[in-house]
Amino acid sequence: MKSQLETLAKVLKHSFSPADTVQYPEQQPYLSPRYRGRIVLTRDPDGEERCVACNLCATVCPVDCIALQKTELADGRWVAETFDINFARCIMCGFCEEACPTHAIQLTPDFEMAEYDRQNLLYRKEHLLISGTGKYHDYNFYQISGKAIAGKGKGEAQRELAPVDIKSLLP
Amino acid sequence: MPEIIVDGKSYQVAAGGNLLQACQSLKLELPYFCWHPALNSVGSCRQCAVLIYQSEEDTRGRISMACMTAVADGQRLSIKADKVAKFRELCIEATMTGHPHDCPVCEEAGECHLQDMTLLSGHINRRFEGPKRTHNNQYLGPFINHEMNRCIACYRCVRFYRDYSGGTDLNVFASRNNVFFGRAEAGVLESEFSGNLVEVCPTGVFTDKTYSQHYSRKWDLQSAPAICIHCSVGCNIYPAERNGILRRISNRFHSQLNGHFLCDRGRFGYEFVNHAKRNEQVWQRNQQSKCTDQLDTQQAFNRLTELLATTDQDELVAIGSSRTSLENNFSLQCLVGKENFYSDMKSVVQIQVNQLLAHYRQVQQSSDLQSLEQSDCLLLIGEDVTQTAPRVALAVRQMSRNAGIEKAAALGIPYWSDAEVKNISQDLKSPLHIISHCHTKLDDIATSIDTRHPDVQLLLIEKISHYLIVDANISTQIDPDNELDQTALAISIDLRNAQHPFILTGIHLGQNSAIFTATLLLSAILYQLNPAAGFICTLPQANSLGLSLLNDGDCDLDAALQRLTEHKTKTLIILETDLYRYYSVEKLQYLFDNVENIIVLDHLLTATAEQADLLLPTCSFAESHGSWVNYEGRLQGGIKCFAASKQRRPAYQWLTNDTDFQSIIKDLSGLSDCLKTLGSLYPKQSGGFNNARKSVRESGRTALSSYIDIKEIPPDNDFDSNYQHSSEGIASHIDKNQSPAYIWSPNWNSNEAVSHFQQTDNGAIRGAPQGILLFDKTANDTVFRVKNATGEAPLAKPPNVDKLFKVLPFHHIFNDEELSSYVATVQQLQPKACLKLNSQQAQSLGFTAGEQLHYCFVPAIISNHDRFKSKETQSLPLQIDDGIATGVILLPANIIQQQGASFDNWLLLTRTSTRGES
Repeated sequence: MKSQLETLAKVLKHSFSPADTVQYPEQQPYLSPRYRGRIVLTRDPDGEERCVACNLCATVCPVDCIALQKTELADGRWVAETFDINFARCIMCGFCEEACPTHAIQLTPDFEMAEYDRQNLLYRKEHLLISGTGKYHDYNFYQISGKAIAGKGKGEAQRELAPVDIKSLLP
Repeated sequence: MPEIIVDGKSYQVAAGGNLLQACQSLKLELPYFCWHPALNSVGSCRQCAVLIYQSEEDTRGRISMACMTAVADGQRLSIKADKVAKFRELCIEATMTGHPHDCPVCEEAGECHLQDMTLLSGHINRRFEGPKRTHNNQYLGPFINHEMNRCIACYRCVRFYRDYSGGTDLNVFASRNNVFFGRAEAGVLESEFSGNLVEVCPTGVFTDKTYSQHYSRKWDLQSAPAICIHCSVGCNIYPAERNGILRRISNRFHSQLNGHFLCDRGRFGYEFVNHAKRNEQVWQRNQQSKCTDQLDTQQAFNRLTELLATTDQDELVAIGSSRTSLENNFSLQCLVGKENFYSDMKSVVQIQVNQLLAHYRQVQQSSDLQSLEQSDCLLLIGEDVTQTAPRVALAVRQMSRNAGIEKAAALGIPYWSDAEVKNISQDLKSPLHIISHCHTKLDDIATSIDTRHPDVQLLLIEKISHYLIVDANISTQIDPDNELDQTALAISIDLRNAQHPFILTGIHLGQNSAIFTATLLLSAILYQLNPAAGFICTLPQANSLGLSLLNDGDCDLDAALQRLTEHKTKTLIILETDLYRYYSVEKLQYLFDNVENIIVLDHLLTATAEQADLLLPTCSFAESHGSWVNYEGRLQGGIKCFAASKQRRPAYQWLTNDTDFQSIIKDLSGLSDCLKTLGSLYPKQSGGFNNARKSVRESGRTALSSYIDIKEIPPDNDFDSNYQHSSEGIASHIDKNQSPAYIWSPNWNSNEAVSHFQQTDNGAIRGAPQGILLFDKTANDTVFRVKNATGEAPLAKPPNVDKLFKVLPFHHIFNDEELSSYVATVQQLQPKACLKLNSQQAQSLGFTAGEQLHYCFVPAIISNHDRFKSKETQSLPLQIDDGIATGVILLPANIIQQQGASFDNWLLLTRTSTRGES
């Protein structure tokens, strides 16, 4: 008898507590910047594409939903010719972001990606590429890499000596 | 067998090697950079350090380089001891201080020996904060990309390029940690073996430029064991594909043929598979509407059947192909009947091939390249192997080093101690005698080079044979002033004294057939004298020997054309052959006009394919299974790498109304006793698991084709073999009974993992068939009959011969082979066509170098030379080459093949095209 009354009291008490229901979509939930949602491809501080088509994101992807093809620009940069993410398969695990050596691929706090046509869940490079740097503002891969590109020759990257003069006999 | 104790466990290892070789054969994980199974040890990278204990009581041990320490019985060593592991880690940390932050944009990443070894050594965190040294790169041609920053100065590249393959234009410059590996000046690498730098370099300094054009990481590639189709050696290769594009070719180790290395034609000549002119659809010429109709596959089969049904047997002619597989030729032969089946070899070549077959059967079998490398004396007659079968030339270079190795061995220096052997041998080389009509790239290692007139050379070869037969002490009776006798004697003495003398020759169009006959005779005499004597004869194309085995002696290409001229032919079937490479446009146009239906099966839109009334698209070597017979009669099976696109299907399927491959193999193996085991090259699909052509790490499976349809497209099935077009199935490094589809082993991502697949140190790949030797003495080929061909009677020389030049061909690695010359990068390196004369002749005729000269072929049978009209006059610039005998003119081999007469070629040179006299 006592436990039944206690239960009734508990239920009654809940009638006065605030509701947990969120009035989505009128009311938007808070998503932290680290939330793992829609994937984007970012640009470096100079506004150039960060992705160098190294294929690590595709390799680490547990559901194999990333496919890309490398090409090379006239200035020597590696870029992705095609970059496809099949969001019908993506599980938003964030491994691709962890694997990316250039901070190009990033997950964003956006999850509203429902579609009526499944084919629309394929995001191609033009859908993925944004114009900002995303979460990592300063990183510029080609300023650290030894590969020469137009405007940054050999020996001009961070912590590099000038190219060796192979004709020098100095010790 | 010595016993060594590694980390407390005892192992039996091969005697005579070093500790690194021993650890490799035991599959123990010991890092290394500068050592290479073919380049041996120099002990410079300090990565293979091991701790060697003096005795059982010794607990301290001393650090020693495994690659520089000979195996001894009872030796105790440790790989895992802390002291030595720390040593290796520190060494690699120092090596890595200058290595750039490049891996994401490096073609080598993912199959990088440096990455593997760094991880294996345990160096994972960079402590050095100082600046990195940098280098400027060089342009090294259309094949190789240079990124010097990545260099770790292991010296493998120069040791391969200079010491192993005899190149001169790659070298090491500057000093200490500034060393630079490249050319004195930027430019195209001259060696025919430059592509091997890609695999020899443990990191990404030299990478494959053509692969980078359509790059894909190694783990994404689909590959299968295949055979190179660019020359008659039949090197083993791995074609690698992703998403319908053939991405690259890499070496597949075969201990008796190519070993670790390929030539540039084999490695970079693959792009014809992706060519814009590849056939993908069935086309039918529509005479009414003056256009071409596209047929679907069933319509094509019906049309083919209909055309054949309405053609009488004697109105049907089929031409096989020496660049396609045995199965395709066999299917065509079965379809049209033996009497209507012709080879694509001109009669002079066919006769020589038949002579060679008779020689293989009745006299002497051919030898593999491994035994050539171990030979101690070589006589090379008439073939510029560096250009026609480059891998053979690389073996010749190894043969020339044997004298030095022997000298070192006498001093107690093992063969694998490369620097010591090099120092001891200095300029000492095993005897290599060259008898050739022009200077070749092997001249630098030759003991004697003879470029006299072919008539003199014939005499020379006969004299060598003579001195081999008669007693060697004849030297006293020889006229010391007769240079020819002296040369012949010197060569015969070298051949006599050698333990494993070798004769190397080749068959190509335009060569003097009397010299070839004399060479066969010489080889037979030598073989009688010394059963250890070897013989190698290269052939014009990948399957020349295979086609000749199927085909009867008389049915050559000239005979086919004669039949087309003389008899009414309703239907002509041409299988993967471009006749325009063999005959002039005018001649073929006339013949083609008289044939009602021309059916062409080819994978490229060749000039011949453009003439087709019905064009059936076939598969390249990478898209179909197929067997190839190499120069020594080794039958090798190539497994298809990827499924053919659109309407492309193997020629054997078109020709046999979609019969599956295994049934064709069954029929073919019933043809002769020596083919009985053919089926063993193509294991059937097993009920349970099959082998995977793709690696387990393959990426993008659910996204690669989603732009076509987001629902995944299932992979193609291959019911003809037990390899699957998928990463599902048994991975290659696990299945020990099957030829691996790719070379990868845990922790070993680079091609260096090959040692994990070898049964013994540098031995055959486990599970991989070595090919079937058709001329094995035990095998008995009952059906394969060839007429016992003899050399044709020497033709009468045309009159006024003093005004004419004898025409001989010169070859070029990128010029002569049909399929590779479709490739744009290969075309860039093709030399400009020219005529070559010696300066004396040019002077006497008043010609200067670079001058455009008109030439025309004079058929030997023309009786009245003065009235000969030069209707097919063409012009080429003149190049002076003093290595050419007087009376001889050299022309590019492909021009002779197309324009020359079949047997003996004579040439008339003029300044202008109107006059007939010089």
